[in-house]
Amino acid sequence: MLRTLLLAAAAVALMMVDHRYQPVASARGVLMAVVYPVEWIVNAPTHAGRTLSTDLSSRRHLLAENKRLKRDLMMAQTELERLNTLKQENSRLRRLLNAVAEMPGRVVAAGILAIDLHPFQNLVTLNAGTNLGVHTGQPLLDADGVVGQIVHVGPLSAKAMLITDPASAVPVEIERTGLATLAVGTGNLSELSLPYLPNNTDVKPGDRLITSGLGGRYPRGYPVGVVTAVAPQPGDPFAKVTARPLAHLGREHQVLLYFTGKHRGKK
Amino acid sequence: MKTRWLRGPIAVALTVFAALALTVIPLPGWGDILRPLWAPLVVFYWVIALPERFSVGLAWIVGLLVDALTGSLLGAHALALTLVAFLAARWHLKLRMFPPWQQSIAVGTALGLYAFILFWIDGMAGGTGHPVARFLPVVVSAAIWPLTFALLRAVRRRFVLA
Repeated sequence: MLRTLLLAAAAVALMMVDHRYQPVASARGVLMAVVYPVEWIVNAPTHAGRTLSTDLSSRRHLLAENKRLKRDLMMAQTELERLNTLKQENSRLRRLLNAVAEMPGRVVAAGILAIDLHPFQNLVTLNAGTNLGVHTGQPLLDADGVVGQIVHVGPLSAKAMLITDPASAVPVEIERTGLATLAVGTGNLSELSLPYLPNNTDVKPGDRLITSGLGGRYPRGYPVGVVTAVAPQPGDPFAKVTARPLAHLGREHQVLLYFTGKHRGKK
Repeated sequence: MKTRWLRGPIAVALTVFAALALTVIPLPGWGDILRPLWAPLVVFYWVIALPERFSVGLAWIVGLLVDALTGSLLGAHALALTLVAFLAARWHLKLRMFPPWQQSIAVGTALGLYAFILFWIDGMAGGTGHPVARFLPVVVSAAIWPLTFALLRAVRRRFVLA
C-alpha cells in the first residue's frame, strides 16, 4: 500500500516536472535509448522487406528506374540552376532594401522507424537523435512540404509531431494573398484546420498555404497544404476552413531534418 | 544449474519486451483504435500469478518505458499501470478463483480505470483525445484476456516459475 502511494506520487511528480520544465529531457533521452531495441525490432520486418524488394527487383526494372531517376535529377538540376540565380537576385534585392539576409538552412535525411497515429496524437519516430545533432523544435520536411517538428530527442532516436497532430499549429500564409494565419492539426492525417480566418477573408479552395516563418520555428516559404473547403459560419466570427497537407504524412520512409545557421548538425 | 533462478526473470522480461513491441508495431488504419492494451494485460497477469515477486514496482518501470515509447507525458502510463497492479495484487486470490469470463470483466474494469486515468491526464495536459479511441481498446483487451492468460500461463509453466 505504502509502496503504491510512493510510486504513484513519484509518477505524478515526474509528470508535473515533464509538463513544465525541460530538465527531464535528458531522463527521457536515457529512456528512449533503453526502448530503442524495441523500436528497432518492430521496424526490422518492414526494413527487411524493403531491402529484399530492392534485391529481388529485376535488372530491367532497375534500369528503367535508373533512367527515370536520371531524368528527374536532370530536371531538378536545371530547376536548381534557375533557383541559384533567383537566390542571388533575392539577396541582392535584400541588400538593396537593407534587410537581414536569411540564413540558408541545411537538410539531413533521416529514416522513419515507427509511426504512432491515434486520433489524439500523430507522432513518428526517427532513427536520428543527438548523435546527428537533432534538437527539440527542429522542423521536418519532405520533398513536397512540411512534415512536422521534433518534440523529444534521445541519443539514437527522436520523436516528431506531425503537423496534423491536434497539438500542432503551423504559422502559415495564403500564398495568393499573403495573409498570415495558423494551420492547426485535427488528428486526421489528411486534414488541417484554419480556425482563425474571419468570414469575409479572401480564401478559396485550391489556395496554397506556405510557411510564413513567423514564430521562428519553421523556415519561411515551404509548402504546407492546399485549401480544400471554405464554409462561412454566419453565427460565428470565424469561417470553417480546412486544408489538405502536401507532405506525404504517415506514408514516407525518409524525411529531411532542417538545420538552420545556429544548429549546424553533425555529419 | 546455477543460472536456473535467472530463467524466470528472463521469461518475464521477454513477455514485457513482446508487449512493448506490440504496443508500437505499426498497424493499418482501424488496427490502431482496436489495438489491445498489451502492457497492462501482461503486467496484470504477472501480478496475479506471482504477486510476491512482481507487483507495483514492475508496473511502474513498464509504465515508464511505455511513456518513452509512445512519447506521452513522462509518468502518465507509470501512474496508471501502478494502480492497475495495485488492484491486481490486492485481489489476486479472488481473481485466481474466477472463471475466465469473470476474470475478463475484472480485467476490463481495471483497464477502464487505466484508460480513464490516461484520458484525464491527457485532458489536464491540454490534449484533445477522443473518448472512443481511449476506451475501445479496453473492450478489446477484456475480450482477449482469456487468450493472453492461457498464453502467459504456458510461458510460466514452461519456465518453471512457481
